[in-house]
Amino acid sequence: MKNKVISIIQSLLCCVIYIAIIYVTVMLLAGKYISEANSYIDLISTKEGDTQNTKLELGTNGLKLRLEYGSTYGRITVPSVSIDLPLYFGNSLEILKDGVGQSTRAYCPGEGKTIILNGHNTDKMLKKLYKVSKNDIILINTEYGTYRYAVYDMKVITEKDIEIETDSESLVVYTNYPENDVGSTNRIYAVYANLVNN
Amino acid sequence: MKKAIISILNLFLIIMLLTISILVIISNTVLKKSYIETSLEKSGFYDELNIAIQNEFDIYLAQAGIKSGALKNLYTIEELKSDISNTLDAIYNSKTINVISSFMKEKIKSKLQTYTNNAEAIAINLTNVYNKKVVISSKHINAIGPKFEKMVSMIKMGIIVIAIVFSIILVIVCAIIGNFKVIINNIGILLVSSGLLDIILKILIGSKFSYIFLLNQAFSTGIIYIINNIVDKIMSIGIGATVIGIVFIICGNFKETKNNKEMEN
Repeated sequence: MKNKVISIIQSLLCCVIYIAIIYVTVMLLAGKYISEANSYIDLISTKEGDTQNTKLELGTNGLKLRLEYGSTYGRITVPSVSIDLPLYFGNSLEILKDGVGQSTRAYCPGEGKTIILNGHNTDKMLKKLYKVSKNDIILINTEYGTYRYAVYDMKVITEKDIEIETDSESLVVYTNYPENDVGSTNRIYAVYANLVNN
Repeated sequence: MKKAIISILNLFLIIMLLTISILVIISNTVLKKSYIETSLEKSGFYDELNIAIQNEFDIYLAQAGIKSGALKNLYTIEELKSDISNTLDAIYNSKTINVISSFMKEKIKSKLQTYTNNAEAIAINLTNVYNKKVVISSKHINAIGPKFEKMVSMIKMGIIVIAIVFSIILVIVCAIIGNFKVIINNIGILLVSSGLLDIILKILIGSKFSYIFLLNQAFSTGIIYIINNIVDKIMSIGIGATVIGIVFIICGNFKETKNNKEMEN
């Protein structure tokens, strides 16, 4: 009996050795392609937890504010082109019907990193973004303070081109591109601005 | 020397078992229109697609100064499913898609005439929005059909070829081993190894595809459901093969031949 049990265990160990050999061989032959495939999958994936129920508690500069997804917490104003719209936390299509949405993957005003805002290119929303020029001022008035940004660049990019982890606070506001296209578009028209003061 | 040859051939056999299990699953899932339709239903694809279409309509209407909801009840979910079925027919049965929901333009026009003088132009644009969402690109969909057919026949041929090669190599291995008890044990090792590899595939892939976003939310929802469903099926086969393999190994080690019994007595 003892010999039979040992024999069974030997057979199972044999299975483990076969699996290890196959795994190592596949990784050696195709490891590079598997790694590239993994990177591509990460690129096309939204972040886990990027859902409708995300709440954010701000701790910067002593601020204690819980933002609920879908809630409005301020206004965005661009005096030079008469943009004055409510600002929402989150950017689902439902939110974008009513105002300018904020990407929950980026940061909030006052956190010292990149804030990403977007809205539809309709007359009532951000179509006038196309008329914004360099040095124009964008104001974000929130429940916890007012932040002032100066435009330094405008360009046509894709969403994935926006860098989130920056050394200083910057603002990216974007809408659909080309100007007269509606619905989902691959490219966006983005206005870049740096924090001037708050 | 004999053991080394058996080990090398076993490695080939395990890879073949793994490959054949994946190909059989793919040919019974992704390559079948009925499976795709069922998966889209279960994953909530049609509801997501309907929401996406309505949202795009609303954006367009807002730009035209028309209140949202002006096009409520324009089409039913059943009509949407029928149009998706036409798209799938183009892929799986190489039928050409020409026009999807040709009634839509006239319906939109008649609903918008009370709101605007520009109903015709808006109706054309919104019909294009609907078609784009349902078909994405009729040019690409119509081109996929023949390639899909070729892929189906290649996979079916692949299964047959791998099965034949597998059988030949298995016969060679059994001939080299010679001893029935050891053959049973060896088959058990093959089944456990390939079964565990199937399970490892599920663990490695895991929830990797659970948050992908391709084209739009509706499409992504459908794709995620199908990929996870296929990986779960592969794991189920793996568990089955492992259990049967362990039974074979136990039988292979406990089976007494008549000769062995006589020798012991």
